[in-house]
Amino acid sequence: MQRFLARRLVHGVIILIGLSILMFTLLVLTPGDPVELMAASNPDIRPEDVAMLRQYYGLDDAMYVRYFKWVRSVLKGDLGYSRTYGTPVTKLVVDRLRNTLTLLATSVAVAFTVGVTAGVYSALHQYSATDYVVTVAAFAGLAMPVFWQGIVFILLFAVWLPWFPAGGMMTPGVAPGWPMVLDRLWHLVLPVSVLATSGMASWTRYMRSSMLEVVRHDYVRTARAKGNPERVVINRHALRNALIPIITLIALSVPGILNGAVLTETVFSWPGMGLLLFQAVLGHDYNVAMAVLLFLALMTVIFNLLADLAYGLADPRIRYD
Amino acid sequence: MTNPKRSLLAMVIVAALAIGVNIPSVMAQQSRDTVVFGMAQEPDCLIMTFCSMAAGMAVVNSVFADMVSYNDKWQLFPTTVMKVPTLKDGDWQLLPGGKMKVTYKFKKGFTWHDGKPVTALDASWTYLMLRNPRSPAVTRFVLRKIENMIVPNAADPYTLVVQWNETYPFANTGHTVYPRHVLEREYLRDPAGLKSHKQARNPVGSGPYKLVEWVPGSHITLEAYDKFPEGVAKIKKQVWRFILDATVLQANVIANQVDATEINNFSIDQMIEIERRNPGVTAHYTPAMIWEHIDVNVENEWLRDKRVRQALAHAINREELSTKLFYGKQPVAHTWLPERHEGFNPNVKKYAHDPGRARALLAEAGFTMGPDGVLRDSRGARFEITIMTTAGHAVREQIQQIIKEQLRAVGIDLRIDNRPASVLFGSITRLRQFPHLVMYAWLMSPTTLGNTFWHSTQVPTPANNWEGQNYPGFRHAETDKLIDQYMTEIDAAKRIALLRKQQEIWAEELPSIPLYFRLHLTTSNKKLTNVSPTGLSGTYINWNSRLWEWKQ
Amino acid sequence: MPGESAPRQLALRLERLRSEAAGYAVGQSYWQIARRRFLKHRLAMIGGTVCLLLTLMAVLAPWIAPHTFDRIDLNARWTQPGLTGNVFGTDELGRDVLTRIMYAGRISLVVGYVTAVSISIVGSLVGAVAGFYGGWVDSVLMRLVDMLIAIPLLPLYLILAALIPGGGVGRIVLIFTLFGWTTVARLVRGQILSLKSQDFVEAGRAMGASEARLILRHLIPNALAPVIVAATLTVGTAILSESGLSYLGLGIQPPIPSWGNMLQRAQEYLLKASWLAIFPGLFIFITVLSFNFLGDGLRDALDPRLKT
Repeated sequence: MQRFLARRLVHGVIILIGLSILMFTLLVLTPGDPVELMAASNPDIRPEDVAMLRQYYGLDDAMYVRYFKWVRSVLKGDLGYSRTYGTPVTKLVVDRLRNTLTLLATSVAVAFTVGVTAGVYSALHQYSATDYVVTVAAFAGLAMPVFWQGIVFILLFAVWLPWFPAGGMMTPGVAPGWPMVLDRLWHLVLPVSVLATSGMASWTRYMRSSMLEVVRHDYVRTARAKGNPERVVINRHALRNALIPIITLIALSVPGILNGAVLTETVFSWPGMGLLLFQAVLGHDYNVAMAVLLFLALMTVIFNLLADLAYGLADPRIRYD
Repeated sequence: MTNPKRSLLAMVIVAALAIGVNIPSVMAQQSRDTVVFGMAQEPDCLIMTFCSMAAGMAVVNSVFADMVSYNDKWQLFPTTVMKVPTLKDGDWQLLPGGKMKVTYKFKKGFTWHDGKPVTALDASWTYLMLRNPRSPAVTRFVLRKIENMIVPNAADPYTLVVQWNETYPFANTGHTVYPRHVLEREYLRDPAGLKSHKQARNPVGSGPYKLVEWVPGSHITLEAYDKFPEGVAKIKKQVWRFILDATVLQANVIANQVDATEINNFSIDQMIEIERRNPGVTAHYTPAMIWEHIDVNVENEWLRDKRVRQALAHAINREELSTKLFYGKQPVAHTWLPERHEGFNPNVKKYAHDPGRARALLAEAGFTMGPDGVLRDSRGARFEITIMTTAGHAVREQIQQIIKEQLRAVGIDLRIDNRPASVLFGSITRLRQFPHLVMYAWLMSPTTLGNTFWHSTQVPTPANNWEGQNYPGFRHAETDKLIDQYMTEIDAAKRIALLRKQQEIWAEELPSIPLYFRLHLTTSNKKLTNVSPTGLSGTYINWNSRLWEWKQ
Repeated sequence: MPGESAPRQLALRLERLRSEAAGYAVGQSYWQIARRRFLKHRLAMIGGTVCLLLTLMAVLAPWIAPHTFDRIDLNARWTQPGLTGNVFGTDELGRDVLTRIMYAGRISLVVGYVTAVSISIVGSLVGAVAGFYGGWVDSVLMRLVDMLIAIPLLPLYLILAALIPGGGVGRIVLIFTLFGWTTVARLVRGQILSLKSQDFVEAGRAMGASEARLILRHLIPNALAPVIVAATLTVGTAILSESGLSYLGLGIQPPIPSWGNMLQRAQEYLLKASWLAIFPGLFIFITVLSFNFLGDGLRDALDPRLKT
């Protein structure tokens, strides 16, 4: 167990180092550096200004020098300054992180609850009309372009039926306390329903097949044969076992959800990490882009580790080597 | 199994209903002492000399009071100084050797938002700070023309003398002023650190509104500054929301969730749709100084011949673009200066849509029709040219499509090759890497004289370290002479005559094909009074927001 | 594929089930069984038919399109959809939307198909090399896979899209392939590893047959099924990813039409001409849905152990 954990940890570190090199290289190679961007929008800028700014932002060093400089400051706990925002990246990322986590956690919770429920129901009523509808709906949820759904929802629920705000995270100046909480929830409804769609669809399908697999197993049959009420059989035996593989998938679905978050946050102007990352990549704000990407990678690595552990704890048949 | 789900659902529904009923009413009450602005951009910082986003400039219009600025009639007016210096009054003097001296008197009573007075000492210190090569100023174009800014009499900290080391016709438009007492300590420690100074995110300003909070990614809140000497702003609060998607911003305008928009990325079609769907909104179509055009690489072997450039202009139906795509709102451009610029010449050579004339000019230039309906040059090469523009810019991409069809009709095969704005402006234009045509806009101001666009020394080459914006590569001796003359001509009438002459030559030579002048598009709630956008870059819809009021 | 965990889930399940049925007979009858199963899978049949129709529509577009492609008519802008003239209406330049959708379908489907094929090839090669050589080669390649699985791919696509110039199909396929091969590589590697440990390989080796020959002989039929399934699902995800990139302005660039960039353009006119957004969106939706049905049906048919 400990050996396994140590090995996974080493792997995790290797992954993070590799990723940081890969992403740094790609970002630096992207044509158009920050100073060129500034120069482009300003007719008064002179070549000597450009040269000075390049020096100021340290863009003239060789790529590996810049990489090692970056690594050195990261190891010291300093993620650097955001070029566009002029604030320390750490502060920027922490602010955005909170917003993204709100959106992600709500979406995952909604998706998981609805998805698992629908999946179980569907599995227990296999081949019924409901099962069919649920299956088709799940497929539909996976085939929907996220941003298209976002736009259509804005059209439907913010413009034609003005029930919800067409973007943003809060009403500026709303009173703290309950009004603020309600205001946040009100702003969450549309983005969450969009971001949760594909998750909901996936969980439904995973849960349905996992459940179908489990109910055929002997212990379920045994439990049933022992005369346990159906409710107990399903809840105590089948459901628990069917959920085990699903736990792993929560971790593995994190990158996918983050993809959706980039698009959802863009459509709904949600000030989260996805939007920040998108802007940082386009604006050549290297420090921010690197920090966000590495944070996402770190999150996935940790979740993978947790999933491996949880899987082992939940299912004693799994042994680590 | 289903019970928890049901109760959760019930909770969500109840919450949604409760909020759905509550929030709009809360907002409706609020909006009477607040103006909510919507922008499709978030500022990068608010010390504008160190930043590059127009959005920051817009907010700065509310937070800082300028020495001198333009109003909606494009006339200069003083704010923190007593008057705009003029040659006639003698507070703007021409000195021997082409030097100049301009004197400003600051008004007493203007204070920074922390209560300290705004004086000429702040102005002269700001000049010194920006002049220091170690401060991260993006440009020092005007600064370089200035020898010094001094406060000649220590007993009178309200008089500023600006000593110019060259003649410059727009020397009376004022200067940037930052609070010395806030910035000086950091400046002395490390000038390069100024960009990350807290002033950049939370500036101590001098304008009618002061910054209360900046929630990154969401909004900036401003509050009326109660000691503004010209009168406290009538509306208590301004909220600047950042809604990056133009369609979402449009939906917000229609739903009355923002009261005014600026830097909104709206198209004319979107503006018209807003007016149609929300009669409570005024859509402002303000003439601006934004010149959409196609630069022609005049060093290309085909395009070197001015008859070919003229043929291109005759082949493109600019009238139709203007009437059909823009409903006649954005006028066709015949020269490079906009109508409201002092030097605008209405009597230049105009190129009407005339495919016959275009074909004749091309034949004259030695092209013959090939079997595939595309022209061949004298050596038999197919007349195939490339047009580049900013990828993702909808209107430009539409125009490319239309032009492609129209050039095809006179035998020119147009290829489209677009790049993201950062690449297009970062290297393609700056290093003159476009083979034939490139379409983009110049944002001009009343002080634009086009010297960097058309002077032969401004053709970027490795030899001049890529200086200048003469991207077409236009080299014309008489044009150079005219530019050298008008750049230092203080007499407005003479300057205008020279500018007009320059445009006559320009329209004949046609180093760029002028397309149309873009409008500055903004919206505001009809209940807001005194809204009057200027259409000038640097001056945004809120330039006079101190005087705005909510109609009862 | 873009952060999808479904194929990984599939891989996990396969790995588990493979041990259950190690000596599964592969041969003529397997494909017959598979065909029979597939034909009985109603959703897959519908999905497959729709995929075929969409492909036909795209291939035949120059002959069956109702209007000349990209004919601009500034006097006929914003024609509403109707039964006469322009069935799906016209766009901001007066071009017929149905015609554009047919031509855009050619691009979008090519993106899907070519990505699927190139991912299968690259993935199979990498997987085969990793599984076959094992040791440090395997470690390095699998760490690379772990790396690519550990981050959301959309931001990486964004960076690559900004890095690689041009706006055509080749660029998008290249971007998707560079980071999308991991799923197939894992599947193929898993197959090889399990085959390597099986009795018949041991037996074959004892009898003097080369390991490579044995593995290749058994690998192809065994690995083909999951690769086909993954490739089918890839067609849909590639089309979805392209539309996502297009939405962010970095997908296929106009004037080449794709469903993704039609949708992106339409967004500006959403309130004025919602049909411009609805139809391309609908086509993306139907296409992805059909390919998913098809892929799912193929999975059930080709891997009977999963049949419930």
